[in-house]
Amino acid sequence: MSPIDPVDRVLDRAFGHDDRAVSTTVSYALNLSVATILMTSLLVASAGFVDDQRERAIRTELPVLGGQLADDVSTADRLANTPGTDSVVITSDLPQEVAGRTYEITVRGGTDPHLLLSTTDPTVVVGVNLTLLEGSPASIPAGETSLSGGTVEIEYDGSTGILEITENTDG
Amino acid sequence: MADVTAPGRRRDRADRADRAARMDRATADPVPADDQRGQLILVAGLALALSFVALVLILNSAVYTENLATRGDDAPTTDALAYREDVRQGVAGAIEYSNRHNNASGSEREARKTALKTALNRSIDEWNELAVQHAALGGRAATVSEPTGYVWGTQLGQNGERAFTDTDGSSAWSPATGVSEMDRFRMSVNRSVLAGSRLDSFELRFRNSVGDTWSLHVYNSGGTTWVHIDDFTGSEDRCGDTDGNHTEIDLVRGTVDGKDCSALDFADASPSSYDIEIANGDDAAGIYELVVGPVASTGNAPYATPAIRAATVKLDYESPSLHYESTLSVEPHDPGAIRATGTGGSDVPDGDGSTDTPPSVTIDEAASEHTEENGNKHDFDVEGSVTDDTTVASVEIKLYDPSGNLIGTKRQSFASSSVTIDVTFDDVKINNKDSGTYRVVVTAYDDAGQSGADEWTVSVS
Repeated sequence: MSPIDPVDRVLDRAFGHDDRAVSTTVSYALNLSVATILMTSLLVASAGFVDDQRERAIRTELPVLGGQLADDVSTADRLANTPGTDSVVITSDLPQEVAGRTYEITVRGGTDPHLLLSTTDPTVVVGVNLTLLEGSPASIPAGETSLSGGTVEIEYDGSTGILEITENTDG
Repeated sequence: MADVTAPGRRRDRADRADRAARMDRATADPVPADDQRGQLILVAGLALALSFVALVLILNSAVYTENLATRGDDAPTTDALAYREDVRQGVAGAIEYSNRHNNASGSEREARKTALKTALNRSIDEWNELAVQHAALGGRAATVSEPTGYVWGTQLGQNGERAFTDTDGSSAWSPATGVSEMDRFRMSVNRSVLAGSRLDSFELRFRNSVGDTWSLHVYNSGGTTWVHIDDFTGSEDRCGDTDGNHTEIDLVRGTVDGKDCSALDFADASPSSYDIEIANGDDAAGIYELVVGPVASTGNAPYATPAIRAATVKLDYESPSLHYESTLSVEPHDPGAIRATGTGGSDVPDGDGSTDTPPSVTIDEAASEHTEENGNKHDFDVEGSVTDDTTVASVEIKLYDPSGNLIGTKRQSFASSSVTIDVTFDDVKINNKDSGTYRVVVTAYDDAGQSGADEWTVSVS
């Protein structure tokens, strides 16, 4: 005869030797933990997937936006190249965000002018070349200017020959 | 013992009562208090759903951008440049119109310039008004200013058919000297009046400051109008025309009767400054038009007025995405074919704004007769009359052989409004092979340089 645990004896007395409730509790706890693990892994995976897709979307979109802006700069340059042009202002209506993230446009002038479009979180940087006509009176001054993405103005001043990209102050 | 068992029974009872109460609560409340951890699945499911929505939004924006990438939107530039071209066309037409129709008001050069400016401003204002309305229909603002600058030149020529003499009837004269820029030089020459050979034919000379000369002869040989060019280096070339009875020569474009004539390329190599001279101006008749830049002097062409060679206008074009400002220097339109705008130049301005009618010539008779028995010499006798509203200054009588060669010219000077002519070409030698129809042309000039002509044919066998 095995010695009887005093607690068992009390439980035996309290539940009248009923063990079935124990399996319900265990299976309930198991259910709960499996569900939690499943949900957590699903959430983690989907969050990762969404982030991955977001980055890929940004990587696709930034060159397109950069291309559009470069196209408008070329347009301004072509107009500047027609004789007698005093001033050109082109409003480039770019979106404020790409895939739900704000972005920054950096203009680098000088002999090899180009645009850098970048987002932080995820960090994506895309470069687009600016092509100006050979012998064009327009030039982008050397140096670097940064502006936040959104509606952008491209201004050409015939008296100075400077082609400038600025944020649209009118909103 | 009862003391020992009593508490146990009491606890049993109490347990049973408690369980009964919990059962009651359980049946009264469908959600047991312990089952509230099930919300975890609900919340997690919701979070998952949200992340999928975010994914959809991201993919949607990617699709939108890809769509954006395929759109080529150059429309704003096209419209602006189209407007610029419209302005050029419109203003060019306005300048051409002003030059052509507002050149005779006022006798002073400055007064004429003012009249031209006023006319041009009015035309451009009217054009601008229409253009603004048209642009507004498309949601654009487009304006063109009145001219801010002018380039002046001189327009001279004759727009009624007469000999290429000056207003004094002189056949050797200089339309302009010290010419540095020539925008236009066109003439339309009547073939029937031309000399029959290059010798003594109508000649146009361009002489530069060191005396080098490009020379252009126009003559009629066997029904072909020949334009013959020889330059100071000794090279020569010519172009011919047989169509119609007029030959149009455009020295700036280098065409004869609308066809390219390489001989006229000498005009491209024109020196920096040159004089334009005419010799034997009475051996050609027709109309001509010459527009030159700054000149040292101008001769007595039937008309010589200031002309606008170019005007500067500013244009402003605004569309939702483009603001474009430009300054244009516009030159007048080329006015198409040169044509006489009056017979004998009835609307030729004669310097003081009034007009003058050309003289009227009538040949009563022209005949030939042998001057010796069995000889081959003939006398040609011409009789006729000339009248004019002012004064007949001179009369020219020319005799051409059957193949169009000029045999002789006779000139007479007068100072009367009505004169009679009686001239004889003595002892014209005619061999048998020269028989045929001889032609007599009488051209009269009045004191304003206007001309009138008449012809008579004589058969010699």
